[in-house]
Order: sequence, then C-alpha cells, then structure tokens
Amino acid sequence: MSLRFPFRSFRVPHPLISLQGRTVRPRPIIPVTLLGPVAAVARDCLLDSGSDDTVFPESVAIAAGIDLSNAPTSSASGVGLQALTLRFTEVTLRIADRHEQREWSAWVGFTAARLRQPLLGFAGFLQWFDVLIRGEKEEVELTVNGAYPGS
Amino acid sequence: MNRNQPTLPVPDLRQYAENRAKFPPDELAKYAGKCVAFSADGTRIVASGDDFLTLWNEMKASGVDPSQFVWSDVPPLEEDTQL
Repeated sequence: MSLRFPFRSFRVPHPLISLQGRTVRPRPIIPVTLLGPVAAVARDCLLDSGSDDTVFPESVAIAAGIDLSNAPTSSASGVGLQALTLRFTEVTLRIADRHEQREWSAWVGFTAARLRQPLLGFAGFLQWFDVLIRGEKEEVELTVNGAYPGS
Repeated sequence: MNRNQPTLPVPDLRQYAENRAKFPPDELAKYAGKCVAFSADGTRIVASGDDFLTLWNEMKASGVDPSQFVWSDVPPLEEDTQL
C-alpha cells in the first residue's frame, strides 16, 4: 500500500520561462497533522528532499501546546544561507489519503523564523518512506519502508 | 517515548489531498500572502488572515475548534519561484 498526493497548483503572475510558459507552479504539498498535548494542528507542508530536518514554525508548537522552553537546539540555514535556530521535540505526525493512514513519532524542529511552509525533510519524515515523484502526473507516492516505526 | 502523545480529536483528512488539488488556483490566488483554513475535506476556505496563530486564537475565542481545519500559507504572488 502507499499514499498518493497530487501536486498543488499555484497561480503565478506571468508565464514561467522554465516551465514552457505555464501560469501555474506545481509543488509537492502534503497535509500533515501534528498531534500535541492540547491540540492537533493540520498544516499543508512542503515535501523537501533538500531539508535535513522536518521543520515547523513555532506558532504551530504554541497552538498544539508544546513546551519548547527546555528543548535542545541546533542551528540551520536554508538556500539564502541565513542562520536560524531550531528547537527540537518529539511529536506524533499523521498523514492520510483516501486509502491509507500512517502515524508515527518524530523529532521535529521548530523555528521562530519565517517559513513559506513547514518542511518535510529527511529526519522525522523522509527517513521512513520510499518516495516516488511522478513528474508527468505531478504526484507524490509515499510507501513506508522497512525502518518505519509507526502504525 | 513520545512525551506529547495526546488523545485528541483530529480532522479526517482522507478526502483532503484529492479535493484540495482540484481547488481552483485563481480562487486561491485571491488569498495570496495570507494564511487560510481549509475545510477538512479540502473543498472550501473557511477563514483567512495575516497570521496563523492570530487566526487560530480568534477561532478558538469564537467557539470554533480550529483543529478541525487544515492550515495553509498561500505564497504571495510575487514569490513565483521558491528555492
């Protein structure tokens, strides 16, 4: 079994040279529910194979009731090389499509820096799945791998 | 051990991804630069605002459970390329 997520299309203000003049930008966005002590927060997240960690904004931790005051930290940088601080804690993540639901425990980094979307990186997300990106269909297929620790 | 393991009501997202992918890009573009809350079935936007946490707290204060929606940041139109 596997979970399939169609890409999302975002309107752009002018034709994209790199995409043969298309006026929508397709992106691999996946809905993830983060289960905290006081609330479940479902967010659209960007599947990002270039991200070492899975990262959410700290506002999600606040909404979910996660206390980050004693959380271990690390520094990170993105494409712009601007340094940011991540505060880590273990949470439960859940994903689902029409046919399958998966839930597992993951170490997630939270940042006060602005993120375009939460990032589904290797640690906490991609490490547990075999990922097939179908460029023509603009679809992501996730299949749990042998290391998957969840249900 | 998962210190944050809850027993909480969570949204049923089985229909979300498929329906959400069909949401018209032109309609979504009206919310460029905003945070929006989608219905759990992915068919409609139920709220929008400048900031996720402000909107979340406003919804709670009005007696609506914000955890029953999917929260999404709509990129500003000028951010047509992300790296």
